[in-house]
Amino acid sequence: MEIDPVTVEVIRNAFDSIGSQMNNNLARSAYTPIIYEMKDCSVGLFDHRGRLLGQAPGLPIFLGALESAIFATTDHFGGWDIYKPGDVYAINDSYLVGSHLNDVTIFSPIFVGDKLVGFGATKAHWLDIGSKDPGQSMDSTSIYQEGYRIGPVHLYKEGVPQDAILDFLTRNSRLPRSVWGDMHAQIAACRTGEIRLQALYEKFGEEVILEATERIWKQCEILDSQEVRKIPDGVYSAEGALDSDRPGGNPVPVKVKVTIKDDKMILDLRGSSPQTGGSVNCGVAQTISAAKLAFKFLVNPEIPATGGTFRNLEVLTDVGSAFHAQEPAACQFYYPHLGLMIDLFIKALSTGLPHLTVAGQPSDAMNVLFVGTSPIDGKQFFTGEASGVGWGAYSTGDGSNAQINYGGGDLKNYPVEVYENRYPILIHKYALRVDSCGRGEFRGGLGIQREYEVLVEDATVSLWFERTQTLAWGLFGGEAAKPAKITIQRENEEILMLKANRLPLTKGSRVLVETGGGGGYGSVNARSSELIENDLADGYTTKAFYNL
Amino acid sequence: MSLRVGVDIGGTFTDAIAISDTGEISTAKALTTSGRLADGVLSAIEALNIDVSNIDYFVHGTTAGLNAFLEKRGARVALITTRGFRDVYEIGRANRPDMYNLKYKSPRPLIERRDRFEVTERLTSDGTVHTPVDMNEIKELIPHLKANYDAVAIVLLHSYKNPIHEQEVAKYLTSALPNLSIVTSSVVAPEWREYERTSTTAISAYIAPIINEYLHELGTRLKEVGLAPELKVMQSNGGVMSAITARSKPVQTLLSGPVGGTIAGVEIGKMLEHNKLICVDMGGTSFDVSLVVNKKADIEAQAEMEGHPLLSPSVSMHTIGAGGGSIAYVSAGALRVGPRSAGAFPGPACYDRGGTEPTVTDANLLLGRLPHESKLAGNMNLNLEFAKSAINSVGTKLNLTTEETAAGIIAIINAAMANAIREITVSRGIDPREYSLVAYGGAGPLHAVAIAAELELGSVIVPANPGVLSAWGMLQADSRHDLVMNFYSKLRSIDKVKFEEGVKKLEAEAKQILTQEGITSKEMVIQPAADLRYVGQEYTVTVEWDPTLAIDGVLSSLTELFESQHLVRYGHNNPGEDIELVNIRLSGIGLARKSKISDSGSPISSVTSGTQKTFFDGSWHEATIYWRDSLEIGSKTVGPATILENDCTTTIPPGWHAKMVSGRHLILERN
Repeated sequence: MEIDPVTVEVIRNAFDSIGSQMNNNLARSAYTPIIYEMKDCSVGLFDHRGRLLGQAPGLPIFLGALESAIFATTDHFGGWDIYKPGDVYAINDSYLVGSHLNDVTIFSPIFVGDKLVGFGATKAHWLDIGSKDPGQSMDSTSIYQEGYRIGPVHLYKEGVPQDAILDFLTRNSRLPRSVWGDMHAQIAACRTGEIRLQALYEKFGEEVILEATERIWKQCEILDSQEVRKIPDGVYSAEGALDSDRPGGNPVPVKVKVTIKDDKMILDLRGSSPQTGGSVNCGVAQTISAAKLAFKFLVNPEIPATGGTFRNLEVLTDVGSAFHAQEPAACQFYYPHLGLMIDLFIKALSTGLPHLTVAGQPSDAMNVLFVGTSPIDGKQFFTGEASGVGWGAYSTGDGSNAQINYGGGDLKNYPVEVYENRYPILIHKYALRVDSCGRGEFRGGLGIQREYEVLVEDATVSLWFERTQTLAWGLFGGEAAKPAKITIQRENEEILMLKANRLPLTKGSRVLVETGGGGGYGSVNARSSELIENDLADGYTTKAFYNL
Repeated sequence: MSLRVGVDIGGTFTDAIAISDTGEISTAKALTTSGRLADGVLSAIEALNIDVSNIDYFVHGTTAGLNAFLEKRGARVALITTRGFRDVYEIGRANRPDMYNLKYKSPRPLIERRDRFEVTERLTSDGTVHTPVDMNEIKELIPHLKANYDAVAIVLLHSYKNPIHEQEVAKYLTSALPNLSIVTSSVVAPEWREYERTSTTAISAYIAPIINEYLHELGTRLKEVGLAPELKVMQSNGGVMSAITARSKPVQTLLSGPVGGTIAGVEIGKMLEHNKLICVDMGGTSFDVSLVVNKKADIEAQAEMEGHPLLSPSVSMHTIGAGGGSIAYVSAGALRVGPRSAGAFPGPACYDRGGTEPTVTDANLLLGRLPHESKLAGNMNLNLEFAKSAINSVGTKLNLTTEETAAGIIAIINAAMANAIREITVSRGIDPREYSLVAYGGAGPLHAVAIAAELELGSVIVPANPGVLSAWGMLQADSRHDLVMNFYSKLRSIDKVKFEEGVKKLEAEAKQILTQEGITSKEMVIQPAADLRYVGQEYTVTVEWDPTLAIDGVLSSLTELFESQHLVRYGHNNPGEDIELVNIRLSGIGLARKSKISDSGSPISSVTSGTQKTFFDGSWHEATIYWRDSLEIGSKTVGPATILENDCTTTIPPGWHAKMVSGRHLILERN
């Protein structure tokens, strides 16, 4: 049919605006800081076949992860005819939807009259889903230790709440109120998407919307093709390894091979680690999401993703590998090998795109989690937060200081004053980690230092830090950065370790977290004296850093 | 005769308005004199042609602080903070809103790392002293501070709970460094979250010396020309304050510019008995949206300026890059418009100042919505041919005719503006269809009906004097002081005595400030409110309560109001769940003396000024042109029509009409 470019543009803006409204609604009414503060969530609006119409900035590592929930549910129940108005579904099975069980996807079909026209979907991190340790375990070895696993299931059936499953989900969490609140915030966000998409159908009609959608996808496809064509044809490779798959575990090798042919890009991860005995594993759906994120960093980063994006991207994995895990692989730390993969992807392509890429960063999970008993109400408390790292330098500037890793996006840190009000922990220091960056014409960004003192007797600390073997590398003569370092002072003992599961602490114990910096770009000999003087005047680096 | 005068400094023009006690209005514009803003204010007053000694009330919205911030020309500021935490200001929240950008840089701090100093001291989260301030460290800093800085910002951990350490440091610095501005976070923003509080205090210190000097100069010069009353200043929260208060809370002047328009919306809502208004200000580059609900401006506790958070109650204003200067272009076969703007230079192609890219103004001119004879800003001729070739440069790439391209540009920009309105309405559970649109600024009334139609709004109001509406609004603004006290407790187990004491303390403080500003107790209104959330949530809902209720009544009404507001806003609630209080807020308001409305001077009959071929809905129509001055109260102008006035044009498409009502406002509705 004939449709003018103006209508297409109006509909494109409406899709994006619906996504951001769903996201606002979720963040503003969620119960757990990991959603509202750290934005460990994602929302999307999809067409009647689960193809992306609009997505709001949430956690970028979930880019394109929501549709797998819709597909898995449709397959499970036998086709697109199963959906009825008023249905709401939930699913978190790692092998079907990719990431750890804490990430629960909730979606609902959208109808205009009795016709299925789309889906509203949300994915959010639930703080506790009944895993063997509060919140999450650092040492799980099978998925059965990681909490409840939800296959595709109705939360609401034609508008009727399914009380048995709602009761099950709340009863089996250490934080039933949060589960209840977050779940309803997610359902409300889906409902927001439904109302707006229905209004859009009322305004433009089905025929116009379907045609506009095709055009929008086609535009994205053309733009992606144009950008990939700019990369010289060839095979680009890089490899590295994670330190370990669990506390005291084995290294996890990651091999990235990127083939560019005309406007096509193939990301081949075959030959990387088999699924691990620890929890560094993910379902293939999450690997594809991370691949899309890697692609988006270099191909049209300023344009929102749609169902037409990524059509020229193909991802290859070995079934049974850490990137394509099978039952009963544990999946709690689904991110570290994906973070390294993204980092290696950028490194591999830096010979083809030297002005777009950045040097390495320690893109690991960076988790610090304390568990203990609150002296105020006698209840168990557990914390959870992400820390910033230094980012890699690039051809025109120093890397950024203290930002959350590639996967994090709008994820935020936890304010000291709010943290101290919530938990019996005193923070003595929150600072940039001087000299932690890699040297170069442009130096990497700095990591952070954060020092905690526990104020109760029975606390434990769990840790997950990485990348001391494959460092945050430099590019084009730039140097690698310092890796993370965790120092624990317990009574008279000093302990150095990067991963731990519920290490017992005594009252007054201190934990000093120091995260890694970013790699440098170009030779340090080319760094201008002005930049060096500024670094010294501001104390970002010491004289010794520059051998002065 | 006594006069009330309002002056608003905009990017290009400084607008002034004088209203006499009989309701007569005169307006004037002078060029804004960047760098010497007081000159522009005095020229605008001179242009009003009034006897300055007759002025008994003078209010002013200043951009002195905002410009210093935007142009990064603020004071040299040192930060003193808790040992171990000088990088909090630089680390920020470690997030990356621009999420696929590998080279993302967070906003650069206004105070460099070398200018941030740590002092040994510590309070714990309940406000008790963990480590006393080491004053020797402060003493040692004095010579360095004296030699290198204009202002010192003091931000110590947990000072929102207990200001004792900040006060101790400030007291010492004030006596040791009498020429420096000393700003403490516990005065500027006594709320938790150390980064946001540091950012607010830093901005405050950064603009403090500039605001002080500006207000001093302006006050002195106004006195010289015979102004008797004390200078009043517009605040970001929609209220006015005295110049003296402004000096102690300079950060409150930051967003005072566009707020005048919102307050005008409040008054118009009262006059026309509209409870729900969407106020839109469209100029050359930006489009500002704000809401007026139940005759009040919608105020939020936190704002953001170029990524710098600001804990300062501000009229919530959503701004997008859409204006007359927004540029249209083609990308991958699609027509896109904005947010890039041609600004004033080179400006739209039709300005004939060298601009070649097509803009929204060019499209409006081609479609006849800006009549070909119109002169923008009173005296600028427009070149139709230049507009046409600019539009065609885009249209040919898409195989569209000139009209189709121009109409497309307008449709896209209108849709973007409609989406901006949805962002602050639908996304918060507000149905815009219950609202009327108030349109002002140079370009607002040109697009208003189309935006209203897109959002299915019932009516559009184009107020009297749409070109100087902000200055008029300032004259209608009440004095207002928003106070806050951190009070973290579950509602169920709240210490009622302490809670009541807290409220009383804020009330006494508010009354004291209002009294200092010459407001009598009869004119005072006290409005308390609470920031509430379910235990475990982060974002709060601010709930006002009836100050005449007794404590038990307050607590039970808070629960009820919170749950119903949560439901309305987010679509769900959780009755029975524990609710916690985070802050007590209290607004002390001194009611403004309102201007009389005069309809005198209205003409007897409507005078047309010819016709103009105008493009609506795919075809050309003959639109009648009227001068607004010539429309009498009660008259009805049927579209297609165009209503002209000196600095603004109102479009009435076919199917709509405009009624002139008392107060000389135009109300546009469907036939």
